[in-house]
Amino acid sequence: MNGRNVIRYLARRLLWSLVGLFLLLTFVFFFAQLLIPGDWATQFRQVMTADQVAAIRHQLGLDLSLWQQYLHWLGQILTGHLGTSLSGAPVISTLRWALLWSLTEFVLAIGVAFVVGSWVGRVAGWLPRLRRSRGLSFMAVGAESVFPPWFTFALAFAVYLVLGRAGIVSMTQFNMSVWAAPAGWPAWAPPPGVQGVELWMVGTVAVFFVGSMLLSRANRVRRRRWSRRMASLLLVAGPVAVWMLVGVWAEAVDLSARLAVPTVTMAVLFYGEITLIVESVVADVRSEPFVDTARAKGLSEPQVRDRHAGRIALLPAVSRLAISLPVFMTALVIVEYSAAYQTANNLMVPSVGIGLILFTSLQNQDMPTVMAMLLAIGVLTLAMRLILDVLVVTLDPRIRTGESRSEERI
Amino acid sequence: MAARRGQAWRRFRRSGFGPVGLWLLGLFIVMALAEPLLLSTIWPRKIYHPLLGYDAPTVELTVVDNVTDPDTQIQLQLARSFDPLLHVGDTFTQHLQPAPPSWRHPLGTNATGQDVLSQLLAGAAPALEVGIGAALATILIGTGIAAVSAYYRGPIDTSLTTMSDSLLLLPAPILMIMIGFSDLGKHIGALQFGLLYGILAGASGAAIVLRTRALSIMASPYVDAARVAGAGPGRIITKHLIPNLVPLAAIYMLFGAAGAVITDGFVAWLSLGKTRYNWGTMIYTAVTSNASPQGGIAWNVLISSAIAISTFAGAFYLIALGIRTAANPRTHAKDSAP
Repeated sequence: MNGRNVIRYLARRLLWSLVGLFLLLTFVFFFAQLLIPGDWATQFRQVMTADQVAAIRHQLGLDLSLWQQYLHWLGQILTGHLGTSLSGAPVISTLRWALLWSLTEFVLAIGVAFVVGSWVGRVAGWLPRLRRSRGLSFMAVGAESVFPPWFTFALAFAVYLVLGRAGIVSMTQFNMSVWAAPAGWPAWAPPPGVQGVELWMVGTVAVFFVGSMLLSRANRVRRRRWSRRMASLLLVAGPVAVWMLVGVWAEAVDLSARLAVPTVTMAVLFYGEITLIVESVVADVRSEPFVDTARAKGLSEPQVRDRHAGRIALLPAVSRLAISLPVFMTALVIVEYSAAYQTANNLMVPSVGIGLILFTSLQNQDMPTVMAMLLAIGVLTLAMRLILDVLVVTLDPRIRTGESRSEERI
Repeated sequence: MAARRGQAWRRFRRSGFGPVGLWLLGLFIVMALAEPLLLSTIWPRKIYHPLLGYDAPTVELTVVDNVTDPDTQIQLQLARSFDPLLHVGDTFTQHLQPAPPSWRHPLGTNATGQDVLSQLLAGAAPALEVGIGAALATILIGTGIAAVSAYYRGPIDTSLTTMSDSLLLLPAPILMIMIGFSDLGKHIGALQFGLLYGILAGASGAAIVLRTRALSIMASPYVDAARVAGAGPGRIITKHLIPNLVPLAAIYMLFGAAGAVITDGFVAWLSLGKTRYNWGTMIYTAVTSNASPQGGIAWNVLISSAIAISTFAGAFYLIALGIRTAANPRTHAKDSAP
C-alpha cells in the first residue's frame, strides 16, 4: 500500500462508518420509541390532567406517527441542526459544555494512562527475565478489571475526607455561580460561571502545554538540561499563576477536585492495557542486536530503554489504543454516571458530561437529546480513530512504503 | 499435534497468569455450587437465604449522661423515639443492621439484615451464566463473521465489517440499559443477558480483530495449496481458517465475558435488573444504605462485593493473558532456549 492508497482506504472506512452510524441511530430511535413504554410526557401524568398531558404531547409533536417524527429528526440532522430538547433548551448549548467537560476528562485520562502506563511497561519489561516480577502485570490486570461504581465511590469518599475535612473544597455546594466577571471584562473572553472557569482551565493548560513542548524541543536542539526542567515547571506553575491572576483560583481547585474522580477512574481503567502491551514488546526486543548497538555507543541504560527499545513499543501501543477506543468510550459513559451518582451520598456535586446527559435523557425519554449525544459519541469515536489511524501510518514506515501491513499484535 | 498442544499448555502454565486465572474461576464455580448446598444442609433458610433471610445481632446499651458524640446522640434519640421513658442508667437492646463480621456471619450482615456471605455466594451463579452466555455468543458470531468476510471478501466483507464497525460506535451499556428500560428487560435471565451482550457488543469487537488475522491466513501458501487441491469454501473455512483463529478468538471470547459481567453489574447497580440478583445489586445497596439506623456506609457489603466482581472479571483477563503468552510465537523461541 502506498500513501495514496492509505488515504483512500481511510476515507472509505470513514464513509462506511458514517453510514453505519446513521443506520445505528435509526435503530436506536425506533427501538427506544417502540419498546420502552411511555414517552417524555408520561412523567407529568402524576401532576397533570389527561388533557394537559395530551396538550403537551401535541405541542411537542409526540402525537405524530413514528415515521413523521423520524423524518422530522432526519431533516434537522441533514440541515445541520441538532434540534431542541423536549425540555425546551436547544440541544447544541447543552452539548457544547458537556463535550468540553467529557473531552477534558477523556484526553487527560488517556494522556496520564499513556505516560504512566508506558513508563511502567518499559521499566517492567526491561528487567532481566529471571528477575522480572509478575506483580506489576497482575496490578495491570487488576486496574483493567476495576468496576467503576465502587471505585468512584471510594475515590469520591477519599477526596471528600481529605479535601473536605481540610476545608479546601466545599463538597456540598457548587462555588461556580459565585464567580462573576470583573468590570471591563472583554467580550471575547470566556463567560463567567461554571463554563467560564472550565474554559479558563482547559485553555490555560493547553496554551502552557504547547509552550512547554516548544521549549523542550528548543532544548533538544541546543542540548541544554535546565530548559527541560523549566518546561515542566512552566507547565505546572503557568496555569496556576494565570488562575490566581484572573481570580478563578478557588473555583479552579473546586472544579479540579470534581474532575479528579472520573479522570482518575478512567486513567486506571486505561492504564492496564497500555502497560501490558508495552511490557511485552520491550521484553521481546530486549536482546535484539540494535539494543546492543545502542549500548555499545555508550548510551546510558535508561536512554537505551526509553529512546531505542521503548520506541518500538509505541506502534503496538497506539494501534492497540485504536482498537480499544470503543471500549474506552464505553468506560467514559459508565464512569461519568458512576461519578455523578455519588451526589446521592452528598459526596460530590456532579460535573455534567456527555455520558451523564445521555443517561438522564434516556431515563426521561428525551429523544432529541439522546440522539444528539449518541451522534456526538459516535462522531467523536470516529474522529479519534481517524487520528490514531493516521498516527499509526506515520509511525509505521512499512505501511507507507508498501512492504506489508503491520501485523496486528494479539 | 498432541506434542504441540502439550507445549502450548506448558507455556500457558509457565506464564504465571493463566493458572491463577483458572484457579480463581474454579473458586467462583465452587462458590456457585456451595450456595444451594449450604442452604439445603447447614444454613437455616430463615437466617441465611440471600434475599428472604433475616438476622440481626442485638447489643445491650446503657443510657449515660453527657452525650457529646453526634453519632451517639442520634442513637439515643432513636432509642427514645421507641421508648420515651428511657432514663440515665436504663438499658435497652438494639438490633445491629448492618452488623460487623462474627462467627455466625463471617462477612457480617447488610443494612436489611441479610447474611453478606450468602449473598456473595448467590451472586456467583448469575455472573457465571452471564459470562458463559457472552463468551458463547462472542466466539461463535465473531469467528463466523471474521471467517466468512475474510473468505468471500467483496460486498459481503464490506457489509459485515461496516455492521460490526458501527455497532462499536454505540457504548454497549447503553443498549443493555435500553433493554432494561423496555418491557423485554423484565423477562431477561442472566444467560439471555450474556447472549444479548455478546451479540450486540462482544462479537463486533472480536470480529474486527479476527478478520485481520483471517485475512493474513487467507494469504498464506497452504490455503492456496488447499484451493488448488480442490477444497471448497466449507472445507477451507472449517479446516484451515477457524483452527488458526482459535487462540485469538479465545482471547476475545474472554474479553467479551469480562465485559458482560461488568456491564451486568452496572445495569444491576442502576437497579434495572430487579428480577435478578448479583454483585452489582450488592454494591448498590451498600452505597445507599446511609439511611440505616446506624448510618454510614456498609463497608462489609461494599468491599466484599467489589472484590468479588473485580476478581471475577480479572480471572477472565488473566486467562486471556495466559493464552496470549502461550500463543505469541516470539515467546516460543525464547522459552525453548536454555
